Amino acid sequence: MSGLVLQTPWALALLALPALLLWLARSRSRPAQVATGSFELWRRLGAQGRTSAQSLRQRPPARLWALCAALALCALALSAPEPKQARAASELWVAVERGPALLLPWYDPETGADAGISRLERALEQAAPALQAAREAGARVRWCDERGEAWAGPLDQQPEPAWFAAATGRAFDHQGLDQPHLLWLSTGAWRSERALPQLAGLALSGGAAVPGLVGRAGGYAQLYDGGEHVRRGERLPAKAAIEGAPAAALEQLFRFWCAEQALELLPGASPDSACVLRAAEPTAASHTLEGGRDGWAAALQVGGPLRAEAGWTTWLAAADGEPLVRWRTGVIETNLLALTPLGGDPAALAVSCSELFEAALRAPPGLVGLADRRGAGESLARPAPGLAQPAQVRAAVQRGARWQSLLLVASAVAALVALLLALGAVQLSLARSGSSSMRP
Amino acid sequence: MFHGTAPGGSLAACRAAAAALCGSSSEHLVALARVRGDTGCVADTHLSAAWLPAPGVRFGAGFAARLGSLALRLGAAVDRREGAGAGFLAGAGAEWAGARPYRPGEDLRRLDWDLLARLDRPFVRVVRREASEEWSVLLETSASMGVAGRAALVPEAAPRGKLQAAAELCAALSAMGLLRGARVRLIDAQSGASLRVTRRAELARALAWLEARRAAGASEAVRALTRLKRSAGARVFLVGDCFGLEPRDFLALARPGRALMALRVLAPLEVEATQLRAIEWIEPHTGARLALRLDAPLLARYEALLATESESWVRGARNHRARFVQLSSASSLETLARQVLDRA
Repeated sequence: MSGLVLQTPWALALLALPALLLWLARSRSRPAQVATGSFELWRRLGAQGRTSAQSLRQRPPARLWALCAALALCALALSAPEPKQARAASELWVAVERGPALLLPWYDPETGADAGISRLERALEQAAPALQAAREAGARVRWCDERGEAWAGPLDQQPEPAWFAAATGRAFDHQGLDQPHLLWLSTGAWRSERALPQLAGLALSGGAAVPGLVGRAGGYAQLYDGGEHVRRGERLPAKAAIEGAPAAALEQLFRFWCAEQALELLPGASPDSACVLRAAEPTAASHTLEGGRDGWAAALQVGGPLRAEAGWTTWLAAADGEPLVRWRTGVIETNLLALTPLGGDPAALAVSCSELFEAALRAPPGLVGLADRRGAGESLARPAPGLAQPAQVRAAVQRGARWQSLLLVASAVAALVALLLALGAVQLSLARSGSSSMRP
Repeated sequence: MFHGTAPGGSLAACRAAAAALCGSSSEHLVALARVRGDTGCVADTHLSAAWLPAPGVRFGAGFAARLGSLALRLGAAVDRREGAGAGFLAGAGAEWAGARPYRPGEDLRRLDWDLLARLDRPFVRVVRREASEEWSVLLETSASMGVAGRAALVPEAAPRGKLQAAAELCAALSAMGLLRGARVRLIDAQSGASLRVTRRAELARALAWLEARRAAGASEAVRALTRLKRSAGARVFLVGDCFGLEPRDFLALARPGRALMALRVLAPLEVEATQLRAIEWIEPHTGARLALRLDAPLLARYEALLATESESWVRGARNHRARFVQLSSASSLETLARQVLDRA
């Protein structure tokens, strides 16, 4: 099966059924265990016939093997295997360079006028012919993100706009995703810095520069004018908060950083807080350990463990992997009760913590990076050079279907053999019982 | 050891107390508990191994009545056979009990000439043994007696075990002995405990005592036979599977005026194991296991070995004017009694 891939791999779980049947048959075929007073006589005779109880187990009958083979083949057929090449030819992957830039309005590169659609919609217009051709040929269209991870939604459906606009902070894997049968969907703002892909197809929205908010500095908005300049705009207030009683050193650095960022520090978090430093619930028990990162080391007094939740990025952890400081957009959470630096450069801790705070800082609404707002050139649609032609796709789909048909036929044959063997066994049993009942 | 002739109920109470003291921790090992109960009895109580399918004895509700009927039939059969000179169960040294009509073929020496002269019809003398005679019935209760006729270990199925069949035989012998006016002494070969009954009304005590027997432990039959040498009655019955016993151990009891009879009770699978292709034998006492593939040559060798062993018993018994009978635990009490009578 190394040259095969499965469309529904979960169906392989059904292989447990024949395995279970065989296991039950084996466990029921254990030799009888009988206490006997003539054990000594048997022991004297047993030198030749002696064996292990394991080896005395009777083999499951052929009909059971046939039935298990039928079930296994059926499970394999349900898992829908197909040759890797056929799968590759029968699938078109759309790799999306996600981010808020995709939701920017699309300005016509020639006129600079707002066309009334977003860059995402423009990119999808560019991809539409390739997607349409693939679907008509029977190929499946699937979506993946900037790292090649598949979108978990239903097959042949398009993800929702929120998925396209998600700001993951991860760079598009230009090298890894340059493969045949792949179509890049992007604004194309990177074209001035990078070469076009060699193997993958393209659906780039392009578009003229989009003026707007590109940053926040000193409590003021940084506005891009659509040309070459960024100017300071109106005041852009933002809030931060400290919840609970985190380690004093950490809290002090957070206060300094908030002052530097012109964040209004409030005692409690609110839904529009840009960054919250939250201490875990206090516990009676605590322990001390040493830890550090980015060139600093400190004695750490640790309270109770943080609640297990998904979606966090651990920033500092104990040797056993237990998170001590973790973050996600807008929130930093810690169970450190005290943090005492152990020598070294005192600036290292401050710089390290600033990076943590900035990573967790929630961007104000409408903020899109300057690089994304710049002009992205002309729209571009280019099919993947290696993308299969409709006839090839149809042939590949048929090859996959042939495998499934083959397995189903084999399963049916095995089931028929099992049935015939079972009928034969029943007839033999009836014949034996008939002959024994006729004995005088 | 159990001393004296305590009622079966007291012994059962001692055993129950022993079981309670030991708990159920004796699942796989035979435990020996020494108990001193309120009744004043001291008993060595063996707890049977879990792999024994039928370690106990249980007489049904109608067993006593069935036993009485069987004893009467056996007595009549013995009386009818007296004239043939093969009356092991009637024996010599008997006293006159009455007369019955002569049947063709009977020994003419038993003919009552006085009655023939007076009534002009042939009658034979019917005798019974002297009331002073004692029958010693030694019951083997080692772990191997807990073996049953089934191939599977299904305790709830309660198959008929060797101990059950042997105990029923002991009960029948007791009834027979009491009917014929003898004192009967039942002896547990494992613990040495015994019960002496002298009247037919005491048969219920004998049944209760037998029901309290339990198969456990390695065979102590040799020791029990050695002890019995000093106190054996005029008739000695050994009832058990005789595994671990040599014929000479039993036949050493032979004395002038004493009759010996060994009743070997085997489970069907001990006689013939051909219905199984593969088996894992379990040693009843230690639980040791032996996995074997049973092919025809191996089965033939086993049967030959068993036959040789049985033959040595038969030969030894013949030399000492004793009896040896091999029986199947699967047979009913009536069948067993008939087989014993045929060989007596």
